[in-house]
Amino acid sequence: MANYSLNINGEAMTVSAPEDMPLLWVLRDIVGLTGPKFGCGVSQCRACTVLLDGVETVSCKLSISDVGKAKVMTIEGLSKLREPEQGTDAVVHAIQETWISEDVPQCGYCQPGQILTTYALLKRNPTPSDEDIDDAMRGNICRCGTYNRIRKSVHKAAKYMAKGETP
Amino acid sequence: MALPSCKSKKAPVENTGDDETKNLYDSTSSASPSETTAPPIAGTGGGMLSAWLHIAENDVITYYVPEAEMGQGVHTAIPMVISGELGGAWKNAVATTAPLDSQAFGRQSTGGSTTVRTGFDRFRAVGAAARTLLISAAAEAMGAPEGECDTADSVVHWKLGGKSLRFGEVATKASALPLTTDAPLRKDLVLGAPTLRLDSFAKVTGTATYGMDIRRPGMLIGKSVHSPSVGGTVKSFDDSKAREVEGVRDVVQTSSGVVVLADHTWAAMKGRDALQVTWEEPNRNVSQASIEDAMKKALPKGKEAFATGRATALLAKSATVVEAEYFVPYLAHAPMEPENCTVEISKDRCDIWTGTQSGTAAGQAAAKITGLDVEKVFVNGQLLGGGFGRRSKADFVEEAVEAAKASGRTVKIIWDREQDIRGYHYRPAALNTFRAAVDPAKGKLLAWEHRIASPSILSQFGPLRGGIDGSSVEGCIKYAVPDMRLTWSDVEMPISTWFWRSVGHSQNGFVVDGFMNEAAKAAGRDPLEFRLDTQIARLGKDNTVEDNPRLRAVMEMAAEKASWGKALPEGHAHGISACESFGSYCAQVAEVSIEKGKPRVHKVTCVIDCGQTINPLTIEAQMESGIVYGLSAALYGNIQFENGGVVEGNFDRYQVLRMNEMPQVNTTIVDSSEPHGGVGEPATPPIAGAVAGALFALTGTPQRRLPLVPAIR
Repeated sequence: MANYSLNINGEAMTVSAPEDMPLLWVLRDIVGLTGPKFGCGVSQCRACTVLLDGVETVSCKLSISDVGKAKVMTIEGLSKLREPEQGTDAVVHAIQETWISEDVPQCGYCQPGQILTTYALLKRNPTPSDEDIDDAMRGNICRCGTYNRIRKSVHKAAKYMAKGETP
Repeated sequence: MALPSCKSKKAPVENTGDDETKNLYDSTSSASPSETTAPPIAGTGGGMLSAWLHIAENDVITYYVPEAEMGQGVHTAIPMVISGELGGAWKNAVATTAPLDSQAFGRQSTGGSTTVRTGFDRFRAVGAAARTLLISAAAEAMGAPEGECDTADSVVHWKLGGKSLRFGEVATKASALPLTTDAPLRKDLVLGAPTLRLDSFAKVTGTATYGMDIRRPGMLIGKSVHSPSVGGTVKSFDDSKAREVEGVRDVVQTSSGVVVLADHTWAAMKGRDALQVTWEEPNRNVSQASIEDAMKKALPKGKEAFATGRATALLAKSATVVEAEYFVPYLAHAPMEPENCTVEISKDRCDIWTGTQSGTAAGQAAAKITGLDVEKVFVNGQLLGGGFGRRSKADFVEEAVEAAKASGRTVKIIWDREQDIRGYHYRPAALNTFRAAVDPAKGKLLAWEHRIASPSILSQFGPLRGGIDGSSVEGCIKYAVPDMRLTWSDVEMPISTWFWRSVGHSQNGFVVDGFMNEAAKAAGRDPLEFRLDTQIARLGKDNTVEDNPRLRAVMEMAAEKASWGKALPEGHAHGISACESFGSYCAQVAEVSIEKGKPRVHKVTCVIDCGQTINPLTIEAQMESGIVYGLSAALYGNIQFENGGVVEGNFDRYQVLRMNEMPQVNTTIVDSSEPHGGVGEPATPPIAGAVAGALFALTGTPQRRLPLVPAIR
């Protein structure tokens, strides 16, 4: 066991954990953030995707000791990125709003990973082509078959984000 | 169909959970009329208008949905129907999973694409009953005759009196009134408006709670080991190393293996890996070769499931006879969320939190293990990270209950992906042989023989009706000629079989349409024209062949929408399949090419006739979902045995469709006033046959085995 100083969703904290404990289980079992999902444990499905300094990262195989000073963001952090508008309780990012308006989720279990991968993609490539989307997102499995809706939502979110607008 | 009485205090404890699922399957095999079980029982006041819905002072309507939400959209569809009858405002609708409550809800099992088609009348009755209460309470407050009041947009209106009251203003009073069981249904109920899902906000913000996300005070995480080969049991184990791992609190044996309990998942995993277990393995001789060998031996001994005319005689003397052997493998369900279950047992109650397709089965399994009456088992259903049939099995619940009982602690069991894929409850493999006689001069199908050898699903529940497993042969009589024969043989295997999205249709769509393409070629005909020239049929009552005009219609419409027969890009070809299942009719045309030696599906044109529609958005989503699920299986799905164990363990070997392989899907919903059909499963059966048909057209070689992409070994 050792103590690790982490920055998770903008919040500094210290957690005590075995050095080889994967970040996924630190987040879920110690920090109490259940947005990152366990799906395969071997970097095959990316349901556990989080952002490390803005880069999509598989958290099921990343030891806590390897996180270092990187800023960690989970889906809960993305939900906080925009202030609530007056009269609504919806505190969601443009990507999440397109996911809702395109009726993307089915079982929804993979969607936190899909959304964070999209966020990282759009940060480095604000106008991705279909091929760019395939390359960025082929690692994220969805068993319900929401891929086409995800693709449409990525394009739609890209447009909104480029204009600084919300859907 | 045996339904547990909704009025009865005692649910049938002696039933195993598995029987419960079989009952559900029985009720689904064909289009079944709406089932009205008990009327909605009274609420408990405080705005609970019945067990199904609560209305708060701020007009928020919370719908308690007794069916499992596994992505198929019941948390939206059921509230839509209730809300329509109620006159509720949709903007304030919230859906949540209802707890297990047999008095209020009767059977709580979700499968067989039944939710809407068997529950529709019941959901209307729930809405109508609540509307009646709200009108009573509001009419009294307004001094209005009840007959002059109506509801709309969460308001009770008294037009003649020029008064109105919001639902929230009268809900508390209304919920204290006695519930009417025969409230009149609306004559003007209109459904079918495209409606966004109610659960998306929670699912995109990470606030949706799945079984995996449950936390309870003092909870330990359990990681288990299961036998490396099918049917194995623990002979002995040494847990001394496991107990040395920091954070490990206990190690217990269950009927399925050994469980290490720890403060967190990582400690439980390390403890589990440090266990030394010796297994009793009676089935290490099971291999892919032994399975296929057993099928080959069983096939000629098949019982007749259907026969008409003189198929055998005709085949013996016909000049042009086509013969082929088709094989489909065992398949795992592999939902995104691995199986998990949280259990808390005290002296007089057992609480369960899990994503289950059958709260009833989970409750019965827990009652049996704990010795508690089933009313003392509280199943708190959570959202399911996929189900596909897997979560109607209660084996993961049993393991968690046994571990909680043995340790005396609150336990959450989390399976590895490998335990899910190597869980030994599979869509059965099937070996099929076909013979068809054709007349090449007239381009006609003359005789058809189909023989199936496939391990039974239904025999685990008791004797088979007529000695035939209806799920193994469903959908096989589709292209009818006067001389036909269909046989089925059970194959004794130590491998458990289970319901997998669309059950027998999942393979029979592929084999029947695959062979139909071969017959068409032998007859010198285009596959679509050959089909349309044949009687497109179904088995009706008394096992007699009858016309299937709705299946014919979707086939024609899909061909037209896909421009069947018109020029395609170089190297592309079309294939078609149409299947009736779960009360619906679905046809698909796949446009396929071969890229780097692999099939590439570019586009799927899908036509669905599921009768009246409630939410077209859900139907479209379920068509995409069913197609992807079936396409994953068609291209990659393969569970192979070696030394009694399963070769595939994770998504590296048990591959599924990914974003870059996703075809465009164009869905047309047939405008229909027929009774509701299912939508969760009917899109899965046609896709494999459609893709295989296109490959046959491209290469001239029939595809007779799934998966289409050979396993990477």
